Amino acid sequence: MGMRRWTSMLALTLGACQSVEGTVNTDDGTTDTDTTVDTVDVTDTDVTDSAVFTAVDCTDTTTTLEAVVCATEGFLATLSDDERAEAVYDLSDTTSRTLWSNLPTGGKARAGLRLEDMSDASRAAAEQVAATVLSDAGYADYVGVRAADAYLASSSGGGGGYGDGLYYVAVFGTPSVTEDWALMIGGHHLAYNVAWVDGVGYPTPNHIGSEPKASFTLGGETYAPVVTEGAAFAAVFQALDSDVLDDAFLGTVMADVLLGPDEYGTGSTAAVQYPTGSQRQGVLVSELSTDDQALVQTAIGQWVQDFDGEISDALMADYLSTEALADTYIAWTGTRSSGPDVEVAGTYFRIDGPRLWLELACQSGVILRNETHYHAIWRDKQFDYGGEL
Amino acid sequence: MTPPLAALLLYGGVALGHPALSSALRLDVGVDAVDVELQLPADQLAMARERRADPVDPLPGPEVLAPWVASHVHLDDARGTALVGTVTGQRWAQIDGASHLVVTLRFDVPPEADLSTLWVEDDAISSVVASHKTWVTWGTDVAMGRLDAAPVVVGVVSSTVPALRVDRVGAGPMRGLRAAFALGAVHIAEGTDHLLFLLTLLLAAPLVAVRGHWAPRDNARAAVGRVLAIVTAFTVGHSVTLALGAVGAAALPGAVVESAIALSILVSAIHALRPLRVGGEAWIAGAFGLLHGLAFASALAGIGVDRLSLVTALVGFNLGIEAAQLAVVAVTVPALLVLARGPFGTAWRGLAAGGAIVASTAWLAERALGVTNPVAPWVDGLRDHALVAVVLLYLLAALGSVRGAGRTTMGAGVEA
Repeated sequence: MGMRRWTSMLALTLGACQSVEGTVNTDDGTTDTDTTVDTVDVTDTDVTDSAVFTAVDCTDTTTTLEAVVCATEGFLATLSDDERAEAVYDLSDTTSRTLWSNLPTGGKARAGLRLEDMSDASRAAAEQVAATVLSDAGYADYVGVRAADAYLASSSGGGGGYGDGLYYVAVFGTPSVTEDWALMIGGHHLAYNVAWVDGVGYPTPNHIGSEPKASFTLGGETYAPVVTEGAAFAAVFQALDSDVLDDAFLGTVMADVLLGPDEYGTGSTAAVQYPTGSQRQGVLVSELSTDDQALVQTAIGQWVQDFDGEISDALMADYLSTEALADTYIAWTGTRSSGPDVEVAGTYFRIDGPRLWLELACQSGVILRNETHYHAIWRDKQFDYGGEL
Repeated sequence: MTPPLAALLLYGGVALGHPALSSALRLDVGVDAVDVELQLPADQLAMARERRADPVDPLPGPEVLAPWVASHVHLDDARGTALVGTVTGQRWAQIDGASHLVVTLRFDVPPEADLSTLWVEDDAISSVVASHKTWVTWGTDVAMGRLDAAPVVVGVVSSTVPALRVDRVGAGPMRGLRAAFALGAVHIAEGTDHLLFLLTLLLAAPLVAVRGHWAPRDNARAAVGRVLAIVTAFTVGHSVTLALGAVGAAALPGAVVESAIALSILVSAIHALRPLRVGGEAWIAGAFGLLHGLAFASALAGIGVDRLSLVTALVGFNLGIEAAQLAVVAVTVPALLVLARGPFGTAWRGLAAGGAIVASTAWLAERALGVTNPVAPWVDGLRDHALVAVVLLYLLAALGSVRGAGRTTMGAGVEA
C-alpha cells in the first residue's frame, strides 16, 4: 500500500520565505487581488497528489472531485452487500454524520466500516479514497496517526484498544460530482469529515492528534504525523515579543481543546458553541508584523492544506483575506513562565477567525506518560459538515 | 474524610489527566424543591481549586469542598430570580474508573417562583479550566410528566455556555396526573400476574361455598356484589402498600414480592377449585393486594422530589391501575357469570383454575427458585393476545348459554 517514508519529510524546515500574490475570493463573491502575504514555504503543505494509487482506475478523471467520486465508487464496488450496508448511510442520517470523537473507538463508536474488517482490495481502495481527497502531506499525516495507534498498541500499557486497523470509512449519500454527499474517515485521534455541497468540498470538522507527538519508528518506518503541525503553531507564539505574548495569554486552564466532539451523535452542530463578543480573546493577526502573520499563515496551512488544493485553496484564501485577518485572534495558555512550550502539559494554542477555528492542546500522555501529546481541532464556523447540520 | 488514593494519584502525578473528564449535573424537579446531584472529576476540580481557592491543599475533605462547589452552582427561575440552595450531602466516589466528588444540593422553590424555565449554571471548574464541560441531565419531574427516573441529557454548561435553559412550559399537576395515570394503566395492562390473580379470584365470585364445595349463587345481584367486594378489597390492599412503599415506609426485597405474587395466584386458583374459606375471596384479595401494592410501588421508586410531587404521582398512578383493572373486570365478568351458571361451569372453573396453577407454579419456580422454564415467558406473552382470549371467553359463554337454554332447569343444587 501507499505508505511513504517519512524520513524525507523530516528534513523539512520552516524557513524559506517567498512572496505570493494571491487571488482571493471574498465572502461576498467579489474577487480581491490586492492581498499580498509573505508565505513560508513548507514542503509539507504540498497540495498535489504525486503518489500513484492503482486500486481503482481513475486515470480518466480531471478534477479532484471526479477522482474522489471515482475512487469512492470503486471502493464501494469492492464491498459485499453486508459491508456496503455498514459503510453507506443516507446523507440525512445526521446522527451518524456526527459520530466521531478524539477517543479510541472502543469507548466511542464511529460510523462506517472498519479497515481491519475489510478485504485487502477494499482496504487498498479506501487508501486511494483518502489519498485522493488529502494532499500528500495530509495523507502522510493520515498514515502516521494510524501508525501512532499501532505504536501505542505495541507499547506497555497500550494493547488491544489501539491499532492502525481500528479506523472507519463511511459514505453518506451517493458519491457524485453534482449531488451532495459526504465522506467520513476516522478513529482514535483522527476525524476527517468532508462534505460536498454543490460540488464544493468542505473538510471540517477536522480532528487530528497523536501520541506520541514526536517522530517515532515502527516496523523500520519513521513517522511524524503532527511534528510540523505542532512546530508551526508553536512558532507563531515563540516569535512574539513578551508583551504581545502577555496580551495573547488567556490565563485559563485548557485541559483539552475547547470545542472537541461536542456534537457527538447529536446530529446537529447546536452543541458547538463558539466564544462570541468579549469571550473572543487574544491578539488580532492584523496587528502582528508581516513576518509573524506569515507564521500564522503557515500554521493554518498545516491543517487546511492537508486537503487537496481543490478543497484547500479557497479556504486558505478566505481564512487569510485582509478582512478575515482583521477579525482573527491568536491566543494561547498554559504556564506563563514556561512560555509556549509544547513539552509542558497544558500548553494550548488557538486561532479564532470569522470562519476559522483552530486549536491545539498539549496533554499528558495516556500510555506514554512522561511526554505530552497533541489534540487538535479545526472547525469552520459556517461550513462544518458543509453548513448542513 | 480524606480523598481516596485515586484522587491523590490523579492530582499528584498528572496535572492534566486524559481524557479530560466532564462534570455531570442531574436535576430532579419537584413543586417545593429542586434536587441537584453534581459529580465533579477530582483532577479537574484540583486544577480549578489550585488557582481559585487553595494552591497548597486544593482537595481537602468533601465537607470543605461541597460548600465551595455549591457557591458556583446556580439555579434561576424564569424571571432570573436565584433559588436558594443548601448542601444535603457530599462524598468521594469512583465513577467510570476516576475519582469524583459527588455533591447533592436542594434548592427551595418559593411559591412565587416561576419554574416555566429553569436556568442552570455551574462554573465550579470551568471558571478556571475553560475546556471543562458540565453535562446537565433531567431526572424525575412529575409536573412535566417525567416519571421515569432514567435521566435525559438537556445540554452542556461550559465556559462558552455559562447558563443552560431547561424548558418547563406546561408544567403542572394535571400533566403529572395524566402521565401517572397512563403509567398505572400500562402497568396493569402489562402485568399479566396482577390480572391473573384478580381474574382467578373472580372465578368463584358467582358461586357460594356449601360444605366445602362450590354451588351456583341463585342471585345474580349477589354475584355482582361479590365481584365488587373482591375488586374493592384488592384495591384497598394494594393502595395501602403502594403509598407506603412509595414513601419508603414499607419495603420487601423484589424477589420476595414477585414470588409472593406468584403464590397469591396459586392460592386463589386452589380457592377457585375448593373454597379455602367461606366468603374468603375478599380477604384473599385484600391480603395479597398488600403484596401486589409493593410491586406497584417499585414502578414509582425514586419518584417525587417532594411530598406534593409524590402525592400527585401516587394518585394518578393508582387511578390508572384502578381504571385499567375495572376495564378488565367489566369486559370479563359478564362472561364469567354466564359461564359459571352454565352447563360447563364446573369444567370451565377446573380448566381455568388448572391453567392458573400451572402459570403460578411456573412463575414461582422462576422467581423463588431461579428455575427458568418455557411456561413462564409463554404466559407473560399471553397479554399480547388479550383480545383473542376475550373473544374465546365469550364464545364459550355463548355456547354454554345455548346448551343451557335447551334444558328445562338450570343445574341448581350442590355439586357432587
